[in-house]
Amino acid sequence: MRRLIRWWPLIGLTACSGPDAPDAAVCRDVVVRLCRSAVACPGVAVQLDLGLGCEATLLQRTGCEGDAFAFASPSRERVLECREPLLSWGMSTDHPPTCADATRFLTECPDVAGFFREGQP
Amino acid sequence: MKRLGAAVLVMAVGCAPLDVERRTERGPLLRTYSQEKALNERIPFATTQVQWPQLTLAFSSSDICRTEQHGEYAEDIISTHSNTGAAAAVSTGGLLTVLGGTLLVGRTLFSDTPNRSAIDEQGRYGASSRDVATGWGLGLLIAGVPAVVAGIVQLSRSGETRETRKTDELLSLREVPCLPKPVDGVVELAGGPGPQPPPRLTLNGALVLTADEIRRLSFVGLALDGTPVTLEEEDLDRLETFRTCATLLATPVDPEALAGEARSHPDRLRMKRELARGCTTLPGAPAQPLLEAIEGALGSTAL
Repeated sequence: MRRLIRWWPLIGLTACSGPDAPDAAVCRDVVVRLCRSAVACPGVAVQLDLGLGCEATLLQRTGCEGDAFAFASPSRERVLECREPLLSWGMSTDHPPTCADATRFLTECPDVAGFFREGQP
Repeated sequence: MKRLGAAVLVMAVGCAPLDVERRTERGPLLRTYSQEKALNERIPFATTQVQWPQLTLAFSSSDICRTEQHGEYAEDIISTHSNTGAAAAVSTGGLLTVLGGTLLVGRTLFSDTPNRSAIDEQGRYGASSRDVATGWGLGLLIAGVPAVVAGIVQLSRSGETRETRKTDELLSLREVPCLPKPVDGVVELAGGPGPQPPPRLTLNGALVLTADEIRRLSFVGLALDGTPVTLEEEDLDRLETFRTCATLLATPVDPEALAGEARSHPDRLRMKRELARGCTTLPGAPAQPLLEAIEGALGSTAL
């Protein structure tokens, strides 16, 4: 968040955003970020109970590999709120979030973390 | 609508002050005039008058009149308005405006597809290239247009203005005694090396001293009722000449003694001759016999 504030003039000029991304795209974005951090942070992989194929496991577990996916519980707003710590390096998924941010995601949002650990109820 | 445009221009250039350099050039002399006024500071004066063997000191109380000579000139105040940043503002603002305008005009050339590679905090895709170009174009125009307008207005306001006004200068100042009134009082003859002479009373504003008295008295200055009396240079000279002649003419003329002095101290006798010539300027002074005797003594020595 602090790094985002540093770029506020550029963001101000390009503030206009595009349309809402579908739930499936949001879910896949979180999956990619979690899997990137799981490589560098063993604790994350343990907490998410991951096997060898991180992204495949999570996509299958959550069901968001299909474009028709929609959040139910937790809601889309809740997922977006909990996703914020994972955006510390920016919107792009090229850079994984830090271990601290990923841990924060898991500890501060147990409902969302449970969704990614156990799948949609 | 024109007023609105003017208001926008004023706001645009309101924060861009011009540098003003002022210089003054003196023009021709328009006229000269005099101003006279009395200072209301009355002081005692004395004038001298000689009718051998008497010296009359006439006392008066005079005001000081100041005469001022003034000159009135035309003066040009030339103000040069300039702004070194005006040209830079026009060029920079012009560049930004062109860039912004180009982006806005050519915005349709950019893709309208949202940036799907990133999802923001609100869960929205990134803006399309067309939206980004529009944003940058507007931003550049907002920064560039006021800079261009401010620069153009500053350039148009640059230049020289000339304001002519009259100015007054004091050319000369002279203070002279004026409005004299005869005055009576007690005169003190003071400042000499010997005992101070007793004070004397004036009569009809005058004090008469004879050559014998002057020879006996030693004084440097005069005071009337305790206030120092001012004598003009001409009157001081006359007083000193009278004092010298009172001593010089008191001795009877002795041609033999003068002839001896011409032989022993010719320089001293020549100086005495100059003093005797000075005595001839005093009305009634019997200096001619002495002068002729000195001339004769010096002439015979020269032969």
